[in-house]
Amino acid sequence: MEIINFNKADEEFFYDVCDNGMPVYLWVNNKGNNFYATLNVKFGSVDTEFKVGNEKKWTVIPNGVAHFLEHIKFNMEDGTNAFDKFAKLGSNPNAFTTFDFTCYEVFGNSDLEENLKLLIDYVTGFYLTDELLEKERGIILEEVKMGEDNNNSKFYFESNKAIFKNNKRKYEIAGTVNDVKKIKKDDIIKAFNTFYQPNNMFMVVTGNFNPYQVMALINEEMNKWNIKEKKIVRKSVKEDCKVVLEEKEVYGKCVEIPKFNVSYKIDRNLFKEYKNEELNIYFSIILGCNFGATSLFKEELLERELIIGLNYNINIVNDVILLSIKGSSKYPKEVVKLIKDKMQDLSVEESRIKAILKMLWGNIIWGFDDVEYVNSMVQSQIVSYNKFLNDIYSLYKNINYKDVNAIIDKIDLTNCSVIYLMNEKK
Amino acid sequence: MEYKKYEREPYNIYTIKTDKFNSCRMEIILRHKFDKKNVAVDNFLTDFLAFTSLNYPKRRDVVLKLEELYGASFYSNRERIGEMILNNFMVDFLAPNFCDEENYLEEVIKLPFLMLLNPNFKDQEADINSFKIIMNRLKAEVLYKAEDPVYQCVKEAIKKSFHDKPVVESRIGSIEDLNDITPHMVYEYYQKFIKECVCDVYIIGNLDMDKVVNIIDKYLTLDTIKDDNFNLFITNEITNKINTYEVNGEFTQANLAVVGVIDNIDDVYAFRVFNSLVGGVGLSSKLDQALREKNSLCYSVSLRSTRTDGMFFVHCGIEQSNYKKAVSLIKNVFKEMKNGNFTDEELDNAKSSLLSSNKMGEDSIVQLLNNYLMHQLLNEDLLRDRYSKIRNVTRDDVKNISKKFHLKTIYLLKSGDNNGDN
Repeated sequence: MEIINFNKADEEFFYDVCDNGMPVYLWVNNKGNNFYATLNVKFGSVDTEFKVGNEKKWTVIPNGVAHFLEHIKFNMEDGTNAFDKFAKLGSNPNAFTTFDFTCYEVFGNSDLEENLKLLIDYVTGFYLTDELLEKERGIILEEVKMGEDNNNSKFYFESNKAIFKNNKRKYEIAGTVNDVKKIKKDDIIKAFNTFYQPNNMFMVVTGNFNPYQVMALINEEMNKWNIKEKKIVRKSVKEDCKVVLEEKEVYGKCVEIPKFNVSYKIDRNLFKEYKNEELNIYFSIILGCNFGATSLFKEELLERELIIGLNYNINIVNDVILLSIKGSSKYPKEVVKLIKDKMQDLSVEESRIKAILKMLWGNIIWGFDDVEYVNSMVQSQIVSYNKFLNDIYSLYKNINYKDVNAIIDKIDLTNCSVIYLMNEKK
Repeated sequence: MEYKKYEREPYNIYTIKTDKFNSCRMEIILRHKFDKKNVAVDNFLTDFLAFTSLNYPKRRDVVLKLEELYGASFYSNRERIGEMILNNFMVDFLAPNFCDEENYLEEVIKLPFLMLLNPNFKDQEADINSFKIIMNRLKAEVLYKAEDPVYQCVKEAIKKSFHDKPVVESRIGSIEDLNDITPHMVYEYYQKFIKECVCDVYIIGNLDMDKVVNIIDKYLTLDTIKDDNFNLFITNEITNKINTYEVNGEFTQANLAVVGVIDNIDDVYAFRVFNSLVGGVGLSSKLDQALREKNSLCYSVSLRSTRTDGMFFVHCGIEQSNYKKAVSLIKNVFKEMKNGNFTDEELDNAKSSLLSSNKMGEDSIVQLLNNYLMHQLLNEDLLRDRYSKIRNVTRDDVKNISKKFHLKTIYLLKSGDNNGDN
């Protein structure tokens, strides 16, 4: 097992790969009682066209299958479900599906070994009857309708539809009511048989335990899974920088204060010399200083009573970078104009960089108080960067004023999509 | 973990020294009696004091200072226990052993006191720029609630059930209440507030607590002694009649709230086990089993019981055509509990879940500090002293507690005309 020192934080991680090929990351916290374990499958809502093994034809499944499968997984062959079994152990299990992966997690503080055995057992096992399929379909349909009544969720997905032409991020993760109604038992079986395999999964366990014992146990449990490795080919989706709609109004129920989202779609290749993790920090600094809590621009908009709130988001999706400025305002069109003007005139004071990096480093250090924070940090790094970043300190240390300005100069504002959320017309 | 109380005439300081965490937390708590007519201005002031001060006039100034302090955070909230209001001002910060600056501890500890005791008033009025920003934000918060079907349903169901009780009042107040607030009113309210509130400071972390207390004494310049006598438990009338309301709504999904009264709870551990068994986390609770797992009626069903308000509610989002079935299943869960129709396994699972969440609390700086506060205010046991009491709860204890839950109101917020039943 490899011991990985988390530079300058006096923390150690342990890394190993199971005999069947699944990578495992462990972090030991000797001061606490709790553990947090996540078993992650690189199967998200965007994975709807794929081939497995030597297949010649593409398999196409409806939107929402990854999420449906996540629901199905809790049912076990002996007629019980994993929730009941975790309840006996006094632990809290949960699961969620994103665009890119499915996560099964358990949070607890006693009998880690039994919890890990159960987690691995129910995620790697598969049990589905027609009756269970319909039971979960009913529950999921209510979940989807709940989402339809949530303006923020609706706004988010509608924004994605205006930005992405080909990328499956333009579809809801759980699918629509119609998608969910279309999903068949065979779609779910095919998805499980394709994506649930050790080389397409990884596990992260954080808490108070002996890492060698835990790794041996995980390996032993994974060895019980009789599975033959298959090659997965996802249909690649090319996404250029053109947005689908430059401006669009969408409507929600009972919207008293309109919302806006200004998204710039930028070619990732313009920033070839930077890694994604570096770009995320640089863009955080740039957008933070210009649109965040310390920006004079935001302060002015608040004082002029033009906005209620303003925030920003950075998202690197394969070949495109999305820089989004979002907020709520009674005068959304006027504010969007001001944001567009401000984007032409971005600047960062040199003295701010040091303070921001100090803050970011402080956040990392106190993140180590929380097994869930550390687990999520590793998980998101593996998903976003395909590697564990153990030297964030050096990453921060190398951030510099010259590159901040070089990146500002390269931001291409040609492709912009503006979405408004307004009150539903009667 | 070392608990200690430092008594001062105008305030008390409660400390928990522990090396378990990299971070530290301090809460300054100002308590006073709930007064319906002051809800909006009291909440406004709580926001205002964390937003601006004479030392840091703009929110931007506060955030820049916090960045310097390794990303410390400073914020406020307002909560109610029975007829007592708690205006809380919190600072989360990194333990000094991770910081290079010599005066870091004093800088971070003094910040909330500088904010609280030097409010940004000019000519007996709240600073107009900050006033406008906070006012707009609070009004927006009120308006956003209209977008939330769960909030709408539960709020109206509680209103129908308890009329003029404090639980009916929203934390922020209404738009009309907010419109009545003036910059001068905020100034005037502060003068009364700072003199009449009971003040406590709670702090946890790997800190030299004597040194911390000296810094607090240096900056917390309050000089009044206060009357600490509040009614913390509200009682509600129990009636046999259940009122039903069906109200038109605009949302895709119908929302159902079932509200009831909880009679005086004398056995707090049986009460907690009951809540875990009937509406605990996960899908094993009685309500989840009945509504979601066995009948696919909803994605989630929640039970919230507030001992100090003597009330509880159950909420779920459903297909409107399943309304009667859902109500019948919820009623049946409470009936079954009263009849003792729950298995030993269900009882054991509920206790395991509580034991586990208690242990989780011992790993949380926020929960440890909150527990110390509740230990002082409500005489609740410290987390470390709860384990055997949870284990000792019996089937009869839970059965007896279930008889204290009385349904009062069934409230259905119907789905909109164009969608709903399909």
